[in-house]
Amino acid sequence: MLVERKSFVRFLFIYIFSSVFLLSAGIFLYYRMNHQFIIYSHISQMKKNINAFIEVNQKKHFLGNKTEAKILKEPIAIYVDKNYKDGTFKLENIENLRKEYFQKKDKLFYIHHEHKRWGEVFFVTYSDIGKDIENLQYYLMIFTLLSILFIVAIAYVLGKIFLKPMSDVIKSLEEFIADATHEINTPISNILINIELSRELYPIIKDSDEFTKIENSAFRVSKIFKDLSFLKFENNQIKERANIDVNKTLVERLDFFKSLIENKNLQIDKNIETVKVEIDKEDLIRLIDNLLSNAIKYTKSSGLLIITLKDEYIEITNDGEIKNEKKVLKKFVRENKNEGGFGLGLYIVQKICKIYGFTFTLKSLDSKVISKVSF
Amino acid sequence: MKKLLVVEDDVDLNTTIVKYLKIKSFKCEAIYDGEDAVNIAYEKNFELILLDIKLPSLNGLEVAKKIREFSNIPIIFLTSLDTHEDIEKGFLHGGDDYITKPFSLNELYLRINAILRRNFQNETTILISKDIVFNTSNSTLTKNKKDIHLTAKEILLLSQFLQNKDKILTKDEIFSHIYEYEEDPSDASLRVFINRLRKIIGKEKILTIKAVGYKYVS
Repeated sequence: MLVERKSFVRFLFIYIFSSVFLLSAGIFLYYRMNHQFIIYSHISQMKKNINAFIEVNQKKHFLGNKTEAKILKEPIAIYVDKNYKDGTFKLENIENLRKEYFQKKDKLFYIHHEHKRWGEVFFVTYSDIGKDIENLQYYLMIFTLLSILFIVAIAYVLGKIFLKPMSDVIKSLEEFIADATHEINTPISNILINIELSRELYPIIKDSDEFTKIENSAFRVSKIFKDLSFLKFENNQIKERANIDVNKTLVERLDFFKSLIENKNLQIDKNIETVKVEIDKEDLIRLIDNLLSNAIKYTKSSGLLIITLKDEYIEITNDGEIKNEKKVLKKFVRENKNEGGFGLGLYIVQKICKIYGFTFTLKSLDSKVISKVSF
Repeated sequence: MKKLLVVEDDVDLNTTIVKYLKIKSFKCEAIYDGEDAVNIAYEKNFELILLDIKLPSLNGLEVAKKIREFSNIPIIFLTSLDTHEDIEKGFLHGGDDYITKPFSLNELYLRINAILRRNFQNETTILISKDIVFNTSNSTLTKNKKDIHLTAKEILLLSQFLQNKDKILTKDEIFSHIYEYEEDPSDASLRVFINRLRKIIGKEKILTIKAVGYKYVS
């Protein structure tokens, strides 16, 4: 189910990321528009206020005659030719008089100017827009949060709907592997026990090559299916860890592969020391078998296999080349599609190493492939 | 000859196992279906049952559970289900051993013998008296290393005595062990078997417990 979860997470990520991106673009534009609208509505109010002020103070010339302006409740500042004349506040920076409006912190300043024969008159007022902007931001924040929740919910539902066919296929594939593994065991048992019985009944075929080949092939089929079921039930199998002689098992397994090695006329260079490792014996056999069968399979006839077992590692070097070391460690990937097999071997080696905390490395150097498991 | 019941729905596998076990001097009955297995285990007396799990009509685990309601016969599961849970289930449903496919016939034979030996406290031979020896693996009796002929019923009776040394066996227990469902047990024929056994292994070895049954004295 790991593949399904991965796809699901990827889908969620892409969907949510793109939706949130579009949403933020929309929200940004909406914010700009509304911000502008707030400014214009405040300006139009301030225009009215200034007009009212001018009307009230119509006959005052704001010039030298010392008459004071009648201040209404709105703030106002009067400048004539950039000189402050009267009002309730002063501008910090006179240069701002050139602008029609400007904003400083929460305050929006508006400047109205008139050309009189006695000079240029500036009427400045301001209005607090902080609260309106804050409201806008508050509503947008709530909207964004709700939208994101909605997007995530939709993404989750859509993801489940879209991935349902895939998860069904994966499930049925896993069931197929489980069933196939069980179903194949009966005919394989049949082949194996009939060979065993025949050998007991007819001494003439006791050491027959042909029967040995049939037996080996049946074991191979059985091994492939055991590998498949290992993947299927990897979390489910009992591990009986014990201190196992790796050297003994290695020699036993080499003997098991003897006919394959002889058929390909491979030369074996062994350097085996006594090594004990805490592991489940079945897993050790699986590990060694996969390393050996892989090395044998990918070495050309009459090639050389160097097998080294030392205190801390087992290393198998064979003639050959791997183009993409990372790729062949994946499930169902083979270096050469024309060769047989399922491409599970090295994946299983890796899995077993992970279970026991071993490290597995695969290198391809000067037409040699070196696979090494460090205990 | 020990009688085994082989329950496996794959006909080829079943016949091969039966053929092999016959070579190894077992008497076998082949059954291909779960319900038939329960019925025949009820009707006839076997020493051991080899039981597949995936079976038509009734699955092997259920078969074992039903057989356990009326019998303590050893059951070996012979199956391709090999996960931790499957094996656990097998033992919890009354199995005595669990063999996963593919298996070797030799291993099967060794395991059958090991289980059957347990009936006789793990002994391969039982010394009945100085010169009389009972071989538990092939159920033969020898006197001074010469085979003594016993009928099938006599062998069953002697085995039952040896499995229950110094215990009183009621007539009913003996009847259900040595007679099959369709046979008519009779006191008279039982007395004949007892007398013959007494002649061979010694009168003092089998005591009559009046109105109850018999007891083997070791």
